[in-house]
Amino acid sequence: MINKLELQALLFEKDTCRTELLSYVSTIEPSHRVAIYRNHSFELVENTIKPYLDYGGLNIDFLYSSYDDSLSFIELDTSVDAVVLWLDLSLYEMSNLSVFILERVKYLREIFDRNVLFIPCSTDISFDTSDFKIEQYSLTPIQDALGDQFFDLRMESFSGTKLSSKAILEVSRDLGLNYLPGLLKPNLKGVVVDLDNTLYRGVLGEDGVDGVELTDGHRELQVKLKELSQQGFFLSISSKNDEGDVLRLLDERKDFPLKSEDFVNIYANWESKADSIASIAASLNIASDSLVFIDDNLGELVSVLEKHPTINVIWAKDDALLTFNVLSNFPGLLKLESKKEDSLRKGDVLANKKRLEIQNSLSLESYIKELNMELLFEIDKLDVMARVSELSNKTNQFIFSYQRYNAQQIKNLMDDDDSVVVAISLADRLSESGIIGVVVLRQCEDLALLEECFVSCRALGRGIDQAIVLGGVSVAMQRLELNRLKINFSKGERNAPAEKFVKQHFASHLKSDGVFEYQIPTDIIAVTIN
Amino acid sequence: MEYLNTKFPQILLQLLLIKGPYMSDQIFEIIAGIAKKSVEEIKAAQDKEKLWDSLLHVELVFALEAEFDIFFSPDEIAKIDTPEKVVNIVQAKVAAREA
Repeated sequence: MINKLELQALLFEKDTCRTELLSYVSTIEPSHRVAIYRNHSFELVENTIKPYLDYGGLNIDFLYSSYDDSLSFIELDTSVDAVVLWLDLSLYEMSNLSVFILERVKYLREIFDRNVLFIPCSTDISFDTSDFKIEQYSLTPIQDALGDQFFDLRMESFSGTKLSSKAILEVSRDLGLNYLPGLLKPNLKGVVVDLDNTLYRGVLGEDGVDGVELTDGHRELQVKLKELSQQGFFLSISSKNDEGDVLRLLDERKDFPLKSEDFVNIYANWESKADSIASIAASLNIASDSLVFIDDNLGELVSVLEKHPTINVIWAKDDALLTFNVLSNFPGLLKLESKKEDSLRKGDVLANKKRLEIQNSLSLESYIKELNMELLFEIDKLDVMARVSELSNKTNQFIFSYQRYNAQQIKNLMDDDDSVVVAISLADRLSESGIIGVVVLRQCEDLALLEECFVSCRALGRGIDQAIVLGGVSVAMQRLELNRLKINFSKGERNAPAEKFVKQHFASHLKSDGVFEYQIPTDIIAVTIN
Repeated sequence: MEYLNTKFPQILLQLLLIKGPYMSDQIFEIIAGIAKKSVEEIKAAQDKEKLWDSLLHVELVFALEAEFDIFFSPDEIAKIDTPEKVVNIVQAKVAAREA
């Protein structure tokens, strides 16, 4: 399940060089066969296309024709899934080129009734193909973007094409991510989005309707989502937030391109997102593999993938332009005119089954191990009191009793021998989150009173919530040398996630005599106590 | 003295990077990666031709140009048919650029 996210990083987040793409080894069994009918070289496009195809769940065997300007199609294997007509039109010297090409395409249609993609190079010609359904792909946008770096005539005698390495790479990327998946697989049906730090910067429950920020990148992302909605993709929300807040946000923020009417489902609640997505899929009467789920929280993505192994995911980034770029090139979201839904073949179904088996073999435990998670518990450390105070005043959702400490109060608690403040930091191989939670315990005779506990929403849902909270309590109780625990919990307007956690997780570790027992799973999480 | 203290070591470092073993090893690694052979195989066959096919030859040119920010002429592309020639031409082009 990590593969999908690592591939996202390789293809969109890094300045990946050609050599890295060349050395990529596909993880997917061959799923389709595509004939390249050409008069110039396509091999250099194929050399770097594998990771892009993998991202869309495709592995294509390309079958090459000889260089055939005459377009005889004598060599064409008509059992392939698609034909790409890859033609350098500058190699023709005829006045009625369009007529010739059109005649040959009509002939191709007579002998081959599946998908055809026509890619002219050097001269952009297009014609009305509505009668015989072929897709046309124009290189002009790439040529416009690259300017005089589009061709490399110096290399032509070696490479067999006029196209430069940069142009070839762009074609490879666009065909691999957009056009070939669009041609060979059914379109996705819907997009499910998280809200906080995905559609905008900030946390609605903490920053409020007017406090969350619409950056330029988030605006682009919202505009793209709106476009997809207008194209007929079902847009839904799955967010751990108060539904009333969400509706107010979409209603009151006039600068947001997205409005509540753009969404067919709004699931804003404290249930698991996997359950919300199951409900969304059921309400649309589609399978979850027809959905793409966008969330900034890696833990949420993994939890959803555990329940829906074939769902598509996008890991939303702080820089929303990156998320926008991934969404704009996400396989299955390009709608082609000539698309035939029945082109999904038996091989595809079998490949999906295989994928399911592989993904199911990775448990939550393996995922945590794979991420090298590290928890740091710092006891009564004066140098973190400012951050502890800040977090206690900012957290609204996962908080037990709304103590809202100032820095001086934190210092007093740290100095007092009868109380203990544990600051919890989290890091993994992907990021360092810093202090994400705090536990405050006070001795009351022979009991430890859990006076306060708060955890940033950013850190929750990564599969180690129990280790963070129960681990913090356990460390604090050891410091106080007490084994009986009492919890101070005050229900507030927004702390339903904390209430749910207390009911679900403290009960199993708190005996009837109040003795609290919890062992941090140090076999899967590295723990340091200072 | 000031010149010696500042510029001189930089020049030495540049010469080491351009002419030294570091750069040739880097080129051997690129050739090995493109030709899908081990670095040892490439080093052991430095004067041998046909260690890679014509398509990989193009990939090799792309990789070297991108890595060292250099540009081969068609003549040079045709000439670099052994690892040894690749190393010599790349080092000469980088040195000429740095001069």
